[in-house]
Amino acid sequence: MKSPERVTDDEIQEYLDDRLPPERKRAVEDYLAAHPERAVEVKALMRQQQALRKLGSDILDEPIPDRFKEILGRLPTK
Amino acid sequence: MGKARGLVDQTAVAETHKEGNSHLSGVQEDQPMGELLAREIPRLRRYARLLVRDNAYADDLVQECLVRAVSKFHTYTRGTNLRAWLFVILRNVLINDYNRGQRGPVFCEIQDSHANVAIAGGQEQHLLLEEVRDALDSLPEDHREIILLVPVEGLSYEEAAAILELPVGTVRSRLSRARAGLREALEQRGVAHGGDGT
Repeated sequence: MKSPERVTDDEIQEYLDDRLPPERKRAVEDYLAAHPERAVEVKALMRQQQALRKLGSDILDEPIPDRFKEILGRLPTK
Repeated sequence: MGKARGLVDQTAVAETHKEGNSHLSGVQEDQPMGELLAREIPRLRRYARLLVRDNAYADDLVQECLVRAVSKFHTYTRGTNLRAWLFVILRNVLINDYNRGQRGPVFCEIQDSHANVAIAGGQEQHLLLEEVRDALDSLPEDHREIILLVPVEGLSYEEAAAILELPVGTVRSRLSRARAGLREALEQRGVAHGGDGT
């Protein structure tokens, strides 16, 4: 196994935000496997990220108040 | 506060998102505008609530946002990013309200009560999310805002940049600092959020 190539801080952030193409994602994972101290940090940020994604998710399931629907009703039909 | 900006140019946002982003909101060209707007309401409510921590006030902000959106819906270009367009309006409502001094510094106010903390999942998850929420509330407003837009709402860096009127590079660096700040705030609260206690 060759030594993992360097990844940038930007890429690590994109990794957290799940914005990397598969090959760069693998590069980041290889890099983290070879750098345990960095991996601890990224793992913490990843857990934080997972919690943030769930924050307020129940609000999304709440019914829309009638007063909001009334406002939308003022839109021209066409 | 550095928040006193003029009205954001809506068309700039529309232009920024003219290409390649319509899939994000799943905008169909022929769908009635009312349906498109209605679909975005839950996200506007979540953003407002997490930002101001007062459900009634948050809904008032969303209501004003909808009133404005309806009154100027003709300025929205179909096929462009409706979500970003609405977030710009919502943000302006909040900033204007704050500038008029009607509500005090809603961005900075930290309430003791977390009775309305939004949760999902079981008891353990509850605690965790409540602590995350609490830590988030302790961050400076620009950091809270970027966290709410990108990790929470799942907007792209480009969308957040358009909404906040910032270069994408600034969004990246601010987000990175906000993440580090949140992690620190969680650690200060003794939340074993990093590693496995090692």
